[in-house]
Amino acid sequence: MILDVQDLLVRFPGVTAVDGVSLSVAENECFALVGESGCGKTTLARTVLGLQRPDGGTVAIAGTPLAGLRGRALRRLRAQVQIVFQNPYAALNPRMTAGRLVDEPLRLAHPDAGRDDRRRRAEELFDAVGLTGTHRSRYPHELSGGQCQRVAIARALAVGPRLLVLDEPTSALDVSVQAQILNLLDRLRRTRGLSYLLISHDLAVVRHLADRVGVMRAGRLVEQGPSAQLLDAPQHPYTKALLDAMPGRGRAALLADTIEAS
Amino acid sequence: MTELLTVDDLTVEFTRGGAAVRPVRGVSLTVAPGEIVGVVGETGCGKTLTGLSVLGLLPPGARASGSVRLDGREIIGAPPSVLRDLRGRQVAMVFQNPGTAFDPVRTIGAQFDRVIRAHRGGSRGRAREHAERLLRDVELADTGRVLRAYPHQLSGGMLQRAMIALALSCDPRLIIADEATSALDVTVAQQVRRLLLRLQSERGFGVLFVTHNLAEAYDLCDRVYVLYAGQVAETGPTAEVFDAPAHPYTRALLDALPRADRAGTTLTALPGTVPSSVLAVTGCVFANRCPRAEETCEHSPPPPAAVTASRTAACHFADTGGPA
Repeated sequence: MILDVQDLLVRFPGVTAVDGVSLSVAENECFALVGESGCGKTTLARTVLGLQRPDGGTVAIAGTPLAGLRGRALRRLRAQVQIVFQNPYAALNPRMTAGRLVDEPLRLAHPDAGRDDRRRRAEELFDAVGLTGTHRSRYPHELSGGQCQRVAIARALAVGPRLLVLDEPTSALDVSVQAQILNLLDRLRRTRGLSYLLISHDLAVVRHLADRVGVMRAGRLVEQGPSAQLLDAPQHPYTKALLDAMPGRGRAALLADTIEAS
Repeated sequence: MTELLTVDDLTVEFTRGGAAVRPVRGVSLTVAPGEIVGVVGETGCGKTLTGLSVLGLLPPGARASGSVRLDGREIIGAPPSVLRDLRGRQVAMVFQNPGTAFDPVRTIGAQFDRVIRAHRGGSRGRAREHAERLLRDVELADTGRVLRAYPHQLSGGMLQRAMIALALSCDPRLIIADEATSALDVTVAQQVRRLLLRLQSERGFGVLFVTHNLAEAYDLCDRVYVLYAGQVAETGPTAEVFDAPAHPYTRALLDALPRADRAGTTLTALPGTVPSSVLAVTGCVFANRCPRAEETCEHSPPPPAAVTASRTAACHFADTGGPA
């Protein structure tokens, strides 16, 4: 298992954000967490990244428990897990060119590498995410949303992670650009043997990318299973409500809808 | 049929760095009384500015030309007094983010009071009764609590319901909804769509529904206009446009959607981007990304042409033969 989460508990004053969640992500697998605002999915992701200390339970990356790690050992483990955020403009330093943005993590990952070596690695990364040399000198505001997201993905890949946490990676993008990024993520997973923890509220995106799905509500994982099976035959009423809320089934279905305010 | 809203050859122009930019270029559309009309397209296609022009709310520096007639009255160039008279009573707006559309330092009640008494007059007590009725209509049961609350004390879904209630407070004949569900959680968004549909069928107002979400437009709209680079690429009854798109751009948008039957496949992504200077394009503005483009597309812009009696598409090679 690349990621193994057991009985995870995260409390904030007055609220249990993650309430006894267990899940695992296998090598080369895409596991999707779905749920609405405040369900705890982002807190869970932050805990997996070591940005949030759990109040109970364990997180293990490639067999190594995150708890108790400090300093260099923690940094080494963190290189195994990287994140791609929803809004690429906010995730990239506006004062750095795309080239420098990708070079930055390369310096950290390869402190002994020379300029030429890093340049070669950067070129390889640019190529892998579908950007060309002309993009290297551009600042984020000179790039489109899709191009920025490609830079963010290249940055995440620069330190050689085995697991990417994808936090709503296409929610801020237009439909045509979303398709490009989904195709890219699909290809990177196959060619680089990556594993994904995908966080999304869009069940169409989830179905497209994920092998397995976990549905979160109020800190708990209410249902999990293979994506086609879970989305075709949901067992939990909340999963059914999420599916019923997907638009695109016509006006009659919208009117027949009976989901209640939660 | 007498149209409620007639937008004719609307162009919106700005000056940026000494050069003219035209985010809306010759858009024409109509909304009949009681009709829900979608304006769909991607970022920068001009859909929001088209909606704002109906309220005379274009940002500073924007120059609008063409014609926007609401119930026969021209909005472009109308003096503020006419616009004031039209807003609220004839046309009202529901914005994307209810959290920023309300004034954060006034209670919801104070904001209802202000709008209702400005447009309808009457006492505070009458305004409050009216506000309570409106809130019950949008399925906000605890009206006292909502009216006492400041915007930050309500959830996004409750605020958007309150926003719809406020928009309905003067019985407008037309509602402009701009990405009205985009900031909401999926189940809440669905509730708001259903609410809008119910209110529309009960009250019979027309809706200009601006959205990037094709599936949402499919569920709600009687007709849709698909915008690309400031122009109408295609228009027609929603089901016909989505089931058998005539314009290659519409087809490309639909092909790019992830769907159950496309899981595990490579999606058909639209290559390239909108030309950086659309005004420099002499032919079809979609030609550089279009799979069907031929030489003629590079040189002559396609005018909107009838596909069927109820549909038009601006394409030299519009698909007229039904589903391909």
